[in-house]
Amino acid sequence: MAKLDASNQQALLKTVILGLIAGAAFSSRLFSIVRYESVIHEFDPWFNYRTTQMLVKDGFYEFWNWFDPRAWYPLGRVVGGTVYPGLMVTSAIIHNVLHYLHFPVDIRNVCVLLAPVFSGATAYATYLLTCEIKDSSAGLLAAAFIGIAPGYISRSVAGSYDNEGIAIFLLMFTFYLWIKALKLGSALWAAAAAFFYFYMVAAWGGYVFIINLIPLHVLVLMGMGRFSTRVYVSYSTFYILGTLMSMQIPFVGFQPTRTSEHMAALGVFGLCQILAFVELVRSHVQERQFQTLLRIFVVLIFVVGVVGLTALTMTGFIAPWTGRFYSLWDTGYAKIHIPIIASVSEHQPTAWPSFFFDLEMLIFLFPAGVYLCFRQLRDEHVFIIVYSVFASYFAGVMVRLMLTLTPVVCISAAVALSTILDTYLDFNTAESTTEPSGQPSASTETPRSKHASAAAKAAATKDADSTKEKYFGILNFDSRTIVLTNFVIFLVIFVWHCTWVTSNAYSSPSIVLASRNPDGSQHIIDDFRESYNWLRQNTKEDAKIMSWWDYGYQISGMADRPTLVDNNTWNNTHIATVGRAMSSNEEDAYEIMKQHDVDYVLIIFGGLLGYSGDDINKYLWMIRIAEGVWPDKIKESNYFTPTGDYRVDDKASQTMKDSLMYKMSYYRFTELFGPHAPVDRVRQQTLPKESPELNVLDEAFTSENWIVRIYKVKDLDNLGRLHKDVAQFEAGKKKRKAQRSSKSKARRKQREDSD
Amino acid sequence: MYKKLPFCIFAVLLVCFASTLAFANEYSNEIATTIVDLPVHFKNVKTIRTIDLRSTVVREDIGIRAENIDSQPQTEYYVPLPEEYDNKVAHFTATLKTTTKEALPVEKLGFDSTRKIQIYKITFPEPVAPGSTVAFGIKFVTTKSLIPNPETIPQVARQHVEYNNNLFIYSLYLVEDSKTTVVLPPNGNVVTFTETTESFSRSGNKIIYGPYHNIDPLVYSEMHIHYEQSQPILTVTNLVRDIQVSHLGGNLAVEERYPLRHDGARLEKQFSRVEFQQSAGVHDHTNVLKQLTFQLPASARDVYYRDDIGNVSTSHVRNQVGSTLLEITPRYPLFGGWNYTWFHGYNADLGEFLHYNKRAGRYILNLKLVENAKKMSFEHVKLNVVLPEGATDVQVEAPFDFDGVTHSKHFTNLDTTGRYQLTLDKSNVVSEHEDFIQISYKFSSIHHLQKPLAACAAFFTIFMMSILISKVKFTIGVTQVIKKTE
Repeated sequence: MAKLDASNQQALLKTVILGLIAGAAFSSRLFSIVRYESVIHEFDPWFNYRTTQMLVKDGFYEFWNWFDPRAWYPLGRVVGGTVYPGLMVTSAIIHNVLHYLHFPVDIRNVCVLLAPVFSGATAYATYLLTCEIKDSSAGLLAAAFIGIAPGYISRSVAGSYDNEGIAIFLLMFTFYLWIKALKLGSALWAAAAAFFYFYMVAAWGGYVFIINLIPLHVLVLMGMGRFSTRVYVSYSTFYILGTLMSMQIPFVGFQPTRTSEHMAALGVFGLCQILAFVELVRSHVQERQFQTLLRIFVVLIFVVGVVGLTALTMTGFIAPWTGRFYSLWDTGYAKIHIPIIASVSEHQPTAWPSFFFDLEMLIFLFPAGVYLCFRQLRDEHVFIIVYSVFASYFAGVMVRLMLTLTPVVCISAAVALSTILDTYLDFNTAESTTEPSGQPSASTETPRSKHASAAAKAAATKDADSTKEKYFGILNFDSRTIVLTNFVIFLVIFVWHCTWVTSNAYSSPSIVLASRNPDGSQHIIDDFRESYNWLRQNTKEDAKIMSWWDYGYQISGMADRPTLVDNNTWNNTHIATVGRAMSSNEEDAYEIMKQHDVDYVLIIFGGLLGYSGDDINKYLWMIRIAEGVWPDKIKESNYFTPTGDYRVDDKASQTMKDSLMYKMSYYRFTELFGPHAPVDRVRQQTLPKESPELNVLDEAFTSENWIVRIYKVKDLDNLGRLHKDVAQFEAGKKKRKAQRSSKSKARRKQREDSD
Repeated sequence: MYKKLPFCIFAVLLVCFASTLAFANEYSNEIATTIVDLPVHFKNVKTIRTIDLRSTVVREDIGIRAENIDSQPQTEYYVPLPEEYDNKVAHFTATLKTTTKEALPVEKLGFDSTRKIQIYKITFPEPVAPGSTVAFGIKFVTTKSLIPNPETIPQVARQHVEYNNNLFIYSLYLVEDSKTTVVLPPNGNVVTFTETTESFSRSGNKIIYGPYHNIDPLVYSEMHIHYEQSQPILTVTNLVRDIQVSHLGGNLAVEERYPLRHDGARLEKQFSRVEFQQSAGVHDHTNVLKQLTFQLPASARDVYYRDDIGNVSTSHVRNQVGSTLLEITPRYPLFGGWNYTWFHGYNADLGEFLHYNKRAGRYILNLKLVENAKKMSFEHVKLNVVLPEGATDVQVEAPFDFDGVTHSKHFTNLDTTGRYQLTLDKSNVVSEHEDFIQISYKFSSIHHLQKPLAACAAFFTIFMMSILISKVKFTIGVTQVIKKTE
């Protein structure tokens, strides 16, 4: 066999290691498939899945013009113009290519496995980026870290078919191309970066992060006096092409020229031109004249710029910051002004332990890596520093932005760790016999830590020439062993921790719950799909389902029925209407439901099983959101007991007991307990013995474990009576010729008027 | 007199309307009328009829002893069926009542549109001499003959159904002696049934009408039975069975898609889970469907049970001697009027199904159109059989006719020329169609190489391309300088 020379050996080794990393990244995301099944998880992915199905079925043109009348009934939703289509188009292309090659892969499997596949690509992109920062040994470490870091896995397990799944790859790759463009001053690389930026815009709303970070990087470079033609060429190319391309996405449209989020990029672009112009002038005029010119010029530009921007913002040409962005600066903002943003758990500020939970030891190595960047401080190191500062801030503000922090943490940590390994595994100055002594500890470990040592070895050989002359490194065998053993242990624990977190925290599809049978076998609680499937099979095709917005996407995806509100929370009033219907008494709720043609009401109730994510626990948000729109109708304080407790038992307030949500949740629930006292297992409260009375709704379906309860809205009474009177009449409680109250007459009249 | 004017106008209008109707009828009849005039060569000396109502699919067995009353030997016996009844017939067979039980060919002869009867012809293998008799049996299997009455019932209640048919055997010939036995479900609860003035008796779960004598040809007298039928009435609207044959893997992959509908009495109100849980003890007496059992081949493995929105975890696979049992529970209990759609599939050893006939040089695949049809009927069945790439000269042998046989191509993993796909369609299928059909084809083992070759070619192309691309220089000008500047 022919012997490969050293560079080829390195290339082969790197390819193999990267392949293994991609494999590890892919397979560690498959826990949910192995444990449950190949299924789309959670809420948003169901929408993405449904649109992808539509795209595959009807083609791109239909998708682009798709108006979905079944969402947000009766408003409908222009889906083609209000989605980031990158994810759907990516999976549709993969699907169509596979089918063209006669691989009949189901679109569901494409969607389920898309995020794991792209995580492999992310590892590669991170490798490339880190190679630009330090060298390939750090690159391999960074690739390995990002491959298994829980902060990224949390959004990219199999079945989690969401924009973030491909967006992190695009983020990393755009940054890599940007660094490359900046280093070379190449318009080609900058154009490539712009193209991937465009792809990112098509894929995720988080593209704003790129379009603010890169200008910021340029700005910092300018401030450091590093403005050069390289910066000018790469940024100008990137900004112009990127902005033009990003405006092709209907959902983005003219935002890049009109919203505050994009103004930084525009400003820096303008500054670039000015600086370049100044450089040009400087090379053509004398020094003294230039000073005068510059002073006038700078003042003029500053005044014009500030006045212009303010004027445009005041006149409304540039849209002010959106609420979601305000909540990035002031974490209390959303809670006061926009309860709907605050009601989403992933918009909450991050708790400290979750940094450790999601990044483990990387979070400790992260500052060290940033420090090492300061020591070299080339352009790309400035980028990493800027990135880490910003991402750290945002990750602290919002839990979900932990995702954008993870890559830079991995890169910095890899830089730090690979520097340590370089220092302690530098065998060039020592006798060659020490080499095997470092090996046994590493070789017996998991594959990932092997990569680390292999990478380090590769690095050691590469850096040998440069380091030889400068210093002699650490020669003592014992100090080497202590440090290296420590770090090998750290790495092993890191892998163990990542796997444990992935397996326990991030691999549950949430539409399926699992419990254990007495014999230890797995028991699947499948109430959600039971009820969704029931709706799909046994109700009219156009039956309108009212439920809290959390379940909107799942209902349209799995039950295939029109919904009033869903997870695309663009219309706060409509959501508040549903919240009001849920929190009003029966008569008011009936009116709202009739006005919106509601056929069925779906609620989640965990009282029997102890499922804590149910609607009674989310109820306060519904009340708050409804109160935000109708402060005179709904009052949050009415739902608490006089002592300020949130209770569902005997002591519950009358408003609470009269509300539709309470009645629907506990309707006939107490009958299950026979002579025993009925207990709500979530709230751990003893319920009143009598079941609430429900007049305007009929129980239509309740799932096996009572998690999902579906009610059918009754038709208007033929005789124009209130349903309460009808029920009482049928129960024989009232005299045959019941006196209609003046109230009911008025209501009837009102109803006729509204017809 | 004037008071009657409106009445007069009404009467005139009525007459006009009636006459137009009559003319219209006559007009349409002129186009469509076909009168099938049939010779009467036989008389039925004795008929014994059994109507089996135990299952939700009705089976009618008629034993006939017919005598040739013509002067010539005759071979053709005609069976008329009223149009309404004919539409429900899923299966119609005739057998000779001899020791051999030879099956007789049954042929659709024509439709008599004036009398609204469909006429079938049965041909005896040997002519029946004048004056001699022949004994044979006819069997009809009808679907959709049971109508729930009342149409809606409470959630915990017994289901009753109505069955209507002719009290006598509907025959072209004179019937000298006739007897009808109706077999009801074991508990035999009957609400009402036709009580004729003449002889009838009821014992246990049987109602016996007759014997009646000398019934004229084509007499129809309504018989009506309203009884308890606690089984769910299950109809599969469009069963699709995909079967894929792989010679190389020795594997038969089967997937069956069931859109199931419960045609029994619907729920009076909505479904209540409390009631359902509290009445668990008496579910057997109601028409709710809680579980289905499918018998799969003994070698069945990788069994799955899914529906449109994912895997259904409530199923068990039990291995028995000679077969594998798949017990599935629908996601929700199925009540009258409810639908449930699912699909399940498995892999089985091909050896159980495929034989090679050396003499003819053909492979013979032995399959059934439907399986496990005991408890349900099928409005339509579509069987897709995908044969390996390179199969030619495909022929189908079946004991019954198909509505459609389609030959097409199917492409799946690594196919280049496509696999041979045979599609068999049939409407109104019952468990009597659970019979073997033979699909024979020619296949040469050289085609086994097709796939590896295609894969090799693909990889070869990819590597060649990558070699070419890596060897060609795409840069303009000199770029090395920039690399060194770092």
